[in-house]
Amino acid sequence: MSKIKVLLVDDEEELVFTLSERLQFRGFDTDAALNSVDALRLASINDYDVAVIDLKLPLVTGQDLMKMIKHIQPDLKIIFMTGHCSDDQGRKGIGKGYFDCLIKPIKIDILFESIIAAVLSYPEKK
Amino acid sequence: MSINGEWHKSDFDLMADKNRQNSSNKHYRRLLKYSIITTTFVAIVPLIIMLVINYYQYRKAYLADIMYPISRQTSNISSSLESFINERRSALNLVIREKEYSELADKAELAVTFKNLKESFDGFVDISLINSDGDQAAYFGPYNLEGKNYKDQDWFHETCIKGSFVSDIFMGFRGMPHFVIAIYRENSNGSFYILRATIESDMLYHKILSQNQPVSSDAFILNQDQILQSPSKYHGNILEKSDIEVPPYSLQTEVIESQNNGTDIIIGYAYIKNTPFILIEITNPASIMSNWVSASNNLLGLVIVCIILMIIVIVWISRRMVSHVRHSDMKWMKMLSEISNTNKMASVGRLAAGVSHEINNPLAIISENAGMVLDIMSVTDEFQQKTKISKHLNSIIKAVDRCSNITHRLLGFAKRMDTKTEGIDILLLLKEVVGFDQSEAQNRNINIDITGGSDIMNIESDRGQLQQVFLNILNNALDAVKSGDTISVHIEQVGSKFIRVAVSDTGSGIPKADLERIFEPFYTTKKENGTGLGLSITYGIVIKLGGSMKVKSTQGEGTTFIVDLPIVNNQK
Repeated sequence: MSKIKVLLVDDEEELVFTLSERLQFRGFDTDAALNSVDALRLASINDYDVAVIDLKLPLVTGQDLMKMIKHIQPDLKIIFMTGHCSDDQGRKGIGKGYFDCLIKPIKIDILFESIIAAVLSYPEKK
Repeated sequence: MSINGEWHKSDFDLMADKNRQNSSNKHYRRLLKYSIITTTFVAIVPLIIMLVINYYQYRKAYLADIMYPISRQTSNISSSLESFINERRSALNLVIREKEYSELADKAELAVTFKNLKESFDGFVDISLINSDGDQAAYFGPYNLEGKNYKDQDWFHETCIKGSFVSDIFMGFRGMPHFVIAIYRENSNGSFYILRATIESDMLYHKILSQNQPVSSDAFILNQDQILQSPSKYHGNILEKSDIEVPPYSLQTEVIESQNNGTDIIIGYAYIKNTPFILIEITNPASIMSNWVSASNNLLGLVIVCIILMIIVIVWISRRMVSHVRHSDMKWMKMLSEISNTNKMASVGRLAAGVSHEINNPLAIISENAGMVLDIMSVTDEFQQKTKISKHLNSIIKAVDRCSNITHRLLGFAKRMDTKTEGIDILLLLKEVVGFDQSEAQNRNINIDITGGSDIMNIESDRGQLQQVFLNILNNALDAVKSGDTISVHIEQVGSKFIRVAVSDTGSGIPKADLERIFEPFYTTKKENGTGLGLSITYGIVIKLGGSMKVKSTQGEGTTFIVDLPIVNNQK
């Protein structure tokens, strides 16, 4: 069984690399991108199972990035991170097509569970 | 109440700021005073001016009415007096022109003349002829005055100069008042003589002075020396000095107002031509004016009654006006404070959103890095201080959790609330909310009672937000009570438009100082356990839903939160 591949996108350098490393600890194969250009580049090279994207990015929003990535990998599961929305009502504004939305600061266990849940939600998988 | 006072101030009667209220009371009292004084002044001063003008004009007209008959009467009497004296003077003049000195000097002839005179005119007492040396040349009358010399007497000289003379009144030999008329004639040879007659004045008084006299008036004759030339009713006897002063000389009849012994009198007078006599007619106006006085007194009484009524009405209207002003001022103030509350909420919201969002990222970094260290340590062998380090890392993560708790609540506070309206059974909703807390309440042996509300119809409101409101209030109550206490929730209808939910606990109560600030954002008494946002968010939601929220608390007895909600929500 190959490792679950996760793409992390956040403009906070310290956050995204630390998070990436922590997820590697937990057995994921992770790549980190600081902006949407890097993220798209990585997405076109690698096959990911899950992308964890900050809603607030420079240049394009998280939602826009999601749409672009889905052009490359239509089945990719998206988990959003946000400092803004705090409950169901807030999430409604984001639109459809994502798997989960987590509120910053994210507890690593919750993120972990969410990624696992996303992977498990694939109809037939590894 | 002030605009920059606490934003929830208008909701708390118990927080009445005594000083401020006193000063505003003073302001309204002053307003009332000025209003009363100004209105009274404006209303009453013209009335009084009118009254005074009316008094004087009316009095003047009335006096003129009185003076005219007095003037006529005086004129009548004076012309009668004048003609009485003139008749006799003319008769003597006729005698002296008709008869030569020699004829008059003859005593028998003089007697005949006197007899003729006396037959034609009343009052002649005697007659005498005086030659140019002043000697009495002939005399006819009851007294023997022959041989008397008048050369040094004033009247003799005056007659010589003026041609005729009328004397003052004097007492004759018989104790009767008399006066003298003397006529002068010059002979062709240059010598002269005087015909002098004494006339009884008694009949003058009876026939002339007393004619048509009303009781209140007094007519008499005065000479230049203020000596009475006739008896008077009230101003002295004949030949006494009168208390009426000689009026100024005038050619015609005059009427003047004067004073005598402190009472007003009206004097009509006329100087009788070619005599020393001044006719005086005195009328006491009091008797005639009495009508006028009573009329003016009635008017004065009426005006006083009017003024009193006016003052009563003015005071009444002013009080109503000031209380109206006060009422609308208060409404205005309340509105201003509500507007400022809303603004405050909005700006706090914007600030909160910005701050929370910016803080969440650094918080995440702290949390992830601390977590990273923990992760590394979990796969590292034991080393010195390992447990201590992991303990401190955990407390960092806990602190981050607390911070994120705050930022998430702030975001909730700032969130735009789109109220969606639906029919809500408030009793059912409260039962649901109580249900959330039921397990905690049971654990702590706290009883939550819901009373009333079974007959209350559905209200239009937002279910989610109402749940949030009551959950928050209920959680507050749970924090305040001890094991074994009761929390009671009471629902009732207030008026036709509102329902009221009162949540009471028997906890420790809230000190007054805290009560004033309880709905302010970030104000908390729970120290590290609270963010100070719960009640302000609750308050904001209730206002948004068109309701109002109050708190009443007695320290040591408990606290009651009262939420009034509109049955039909107009605040869409």
